Amino acid sequence: MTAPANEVEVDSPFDGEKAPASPRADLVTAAVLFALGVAIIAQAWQMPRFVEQSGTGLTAPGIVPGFYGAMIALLAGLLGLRAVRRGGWTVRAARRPANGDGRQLLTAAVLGVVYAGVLVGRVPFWMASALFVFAFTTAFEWVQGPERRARRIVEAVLIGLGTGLAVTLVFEKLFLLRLP
Amino acid sequence: MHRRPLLIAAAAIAAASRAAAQEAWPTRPTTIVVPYVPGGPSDILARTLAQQLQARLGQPFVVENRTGANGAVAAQYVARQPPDGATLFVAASGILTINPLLIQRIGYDALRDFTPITIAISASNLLVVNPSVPANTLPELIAWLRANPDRASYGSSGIGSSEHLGMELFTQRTGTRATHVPYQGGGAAVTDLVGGTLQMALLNMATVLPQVQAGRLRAIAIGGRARHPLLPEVPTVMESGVADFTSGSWHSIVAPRGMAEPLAARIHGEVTAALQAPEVAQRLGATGFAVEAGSRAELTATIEAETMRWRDVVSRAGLAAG
Amino acid sequence: MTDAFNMLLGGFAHVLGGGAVWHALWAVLIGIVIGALPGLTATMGVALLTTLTFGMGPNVAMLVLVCVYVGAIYGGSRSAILLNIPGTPASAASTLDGFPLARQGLAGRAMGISTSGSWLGTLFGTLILALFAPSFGEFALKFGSYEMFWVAMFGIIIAGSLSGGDPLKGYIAGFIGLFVATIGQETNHAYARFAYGNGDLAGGLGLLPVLVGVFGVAEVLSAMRGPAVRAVSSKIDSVIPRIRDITQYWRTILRSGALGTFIGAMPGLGEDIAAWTSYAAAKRASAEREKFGKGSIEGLMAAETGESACVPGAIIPVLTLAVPGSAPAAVLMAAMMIHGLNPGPMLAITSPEFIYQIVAMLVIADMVKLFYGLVLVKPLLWILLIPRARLMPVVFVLCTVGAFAITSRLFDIWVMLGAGLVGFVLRELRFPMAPLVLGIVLGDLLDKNLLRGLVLSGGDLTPFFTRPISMGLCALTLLAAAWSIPGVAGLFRRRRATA
Repeated sequence: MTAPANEVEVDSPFDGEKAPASPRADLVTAAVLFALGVAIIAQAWQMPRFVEQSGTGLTAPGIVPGFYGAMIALLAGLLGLRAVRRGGWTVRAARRPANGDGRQLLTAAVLGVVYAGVLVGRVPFWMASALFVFAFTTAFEWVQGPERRARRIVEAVLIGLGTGLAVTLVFEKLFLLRLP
Repeated sequence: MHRRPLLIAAAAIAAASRAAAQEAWPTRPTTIVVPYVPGGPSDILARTLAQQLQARLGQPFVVENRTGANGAVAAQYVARQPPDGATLFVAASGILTINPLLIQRIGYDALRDFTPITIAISASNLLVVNPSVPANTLPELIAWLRANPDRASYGSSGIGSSEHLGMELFTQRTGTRATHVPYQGGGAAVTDLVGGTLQMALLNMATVLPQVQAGRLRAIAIGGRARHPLLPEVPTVMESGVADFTSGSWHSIVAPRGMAEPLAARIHGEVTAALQAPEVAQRLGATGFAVEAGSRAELTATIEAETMRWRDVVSRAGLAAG
Repeated sequence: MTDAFNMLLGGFAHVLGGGAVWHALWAVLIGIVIGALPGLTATMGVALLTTLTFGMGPNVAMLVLVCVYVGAIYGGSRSAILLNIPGTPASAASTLDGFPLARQGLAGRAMGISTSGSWLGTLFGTLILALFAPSFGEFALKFGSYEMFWVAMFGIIIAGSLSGGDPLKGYIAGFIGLFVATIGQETNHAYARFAYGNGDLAGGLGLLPVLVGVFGVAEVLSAMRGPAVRAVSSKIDSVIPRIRDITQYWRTILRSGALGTFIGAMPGLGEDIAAWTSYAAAKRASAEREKFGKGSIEGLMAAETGESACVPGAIIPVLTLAVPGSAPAAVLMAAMMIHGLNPGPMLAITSPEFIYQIVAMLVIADMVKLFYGLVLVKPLLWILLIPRARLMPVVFVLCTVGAFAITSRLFDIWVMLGAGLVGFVLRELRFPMAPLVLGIVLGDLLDKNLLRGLVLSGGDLTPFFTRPISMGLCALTLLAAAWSIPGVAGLFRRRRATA
């Protein structure tokens, strides 16, 4: 019951990834975007208008973002309507990511957030990067099974350290940039 | 001409030939903080100075661009550093004098949070008009502005720039009116100025000089205390009859607050000596700036005097915003 | 004409010599590396190299900087094609068809197309620079705030054609991008929109961290999501650019070259807009429009030619007006001034030979770029052989550095992370990222020029319609808008019928 893949794929081996989002997902997205649009309009409305300073109300800072907010809300409404027509109310979300998929995605996202959001800026950059690369590589290569795991872990350590040191050297010494 | 362009910082070489320092300059690399992106006058000043100081002191100097919030990000950062000589700051005039007046809770105090070292370079702003404006001298321009009170617009490199407040000061002193149109940088204003959408502007001289020389813009007066050698026929604003008017910008070197007097004096000595190297004058002169290298007291006095002057202009123009 | 030719020969004679080839070789390579690293842009490359050229003679210094500029714009597409992560904002358009080609096992061919397109683009732009610099510069000066508003508007309208399969989602993504561009201080009153007292937000969200986020971080996440073994077909296809790719699309190359050079010459418009516009124009004109976004050779060629033609284009107003045509050109201009070469209207009188020296430098840089284009393909293809569990974390580290490098603010890393997560979700929901990024680029242009124009006119809207060039651009925009409406409607109908 998924929407048909109506884009003609040319020689692409990855058709699955180009499958359109389900009507249910579209409906939820439309609701979120509609709320965003309305929130933008409300915020834009409350901005000061600077009528006395400029002698005209047309340069009020809220006009342009307000218009964008209105357009986002309007287009989100259209998206919602389209999703309903395609059965967004009735059809259950058909395309659920496989569990393994979800877990991998979560691993990558959590590692990324911990690295860029927490470690960087608190720990020396080379160390943070080395840890991140090591953890990332090890986590994703763990599933390849126990044989040669020790070797892979050692390689991951080396890649991590290599990345951390190479990036630090290249950026700080060659490009004279500062690292966090 | 077969200079091998080694990209590795001269730091390594300099460190190897480290000479014994007299007044304890910190042994760790000195960071010169630049509040704007690479390529502008602050950045060029910092990198030129770094090169000179490295050669003089035989120890590494690193330039760090910390941008954001019109320089407040860098200023707040420097204010938090220990005053051990390992951090210097290229503070533009706007950061020390104008921005604290315009921005509430800016997060630093120009006089309290820094140890002044010296004004490094300065440039005058040039008052130019589109050739369609029927005025060749400042009195003619003032007369034209009075006769056409709502016709004139002027461009600037941004709200609260020296160019904007200079023009505010000008209209306040001369009792004229003109609409301010801020741009992102003076270069962007030039297009509208040459195209005639803007009638006039008080812009950094280097920005408009090529257009003046080509006759696309007419120079009316210069905002400095004296005429400029490149435009000897253009009078100063004060010569043209507006009392007590200067407009320009400068970049100073400051350190975090509370620096011990001997160290501050040592840094002042080294920085001013580095500024006086001929390459420095040549390199910065090309960007429209003249080397100043004055005393530490002069910097403090300039900050105080200009803050007072702009406070008055800002409050009269009703500019103090959020 | 013979006079100009002699001057050009003189220019080459002047530039070549003193180890010029050696300088060009290392400088273009540095440029390619800087360009290929996500977050490090051509602007930054030229700025960083400016300080390193302080000690060189003006001639060598300019050659080095021109080479870095040319190399960086070209280098940005390497990561765009191989990893779907544009190395510089200019190469975002190259991801649209470059990456699909790479996934089809045609990475070598894609880089060949990129090399030939980029090479011809710069050559074309340089030719225009040599022949028409003064009149081109003159025309660029006619584009003030009112005209720039229409340029932005026109860009937004034609951007609708970039949305790929689902125009509605394309437009939504575009408006989200436009909205993101309004965050931060607006131009007239410095009122900080959507900042809520936060100093970092008042400065606005940088294009670069958002770009690195929605392409880089989101790409790392989607690469890790799929099944473990998904090695991209690694058969080494042809690495030599094919003559047929050039002869078949000569019209696209000429159009993109002209558009790119023209956009370069406009102050305030840079390589990114040149690439997008060339791409969109090629898509409109193409006979095989449906291939765009799925690995169209023509699309990649258009984007590459456009962005590379923009480089000489952006140097035109530097030389003739002392008004830079793009951000890297602005830094280049500052470097010229530092080295005592005074660009601007007086240049044609004081040292006309300098224009031809720049032409010679651009040609040398372009030839060296071609050389690397041929030599580097095979080593670059090895990147595709690295297992993703090892490649992606390194890419992520480089993205983080790139987001941080320009402003040294941790805030920009958070913006990258946030944009990456939101961008990933939007991508999963089949929202295209191209209109979003273009929205941010054009939104800034539109907003600032509209508000500025309104102040200039004292709140009067008529100059937007009555100035001659404004009127023409307005008509063009309306035409483009009208053109796209039936198309959108048609797509709608077809979708509903199949649903």
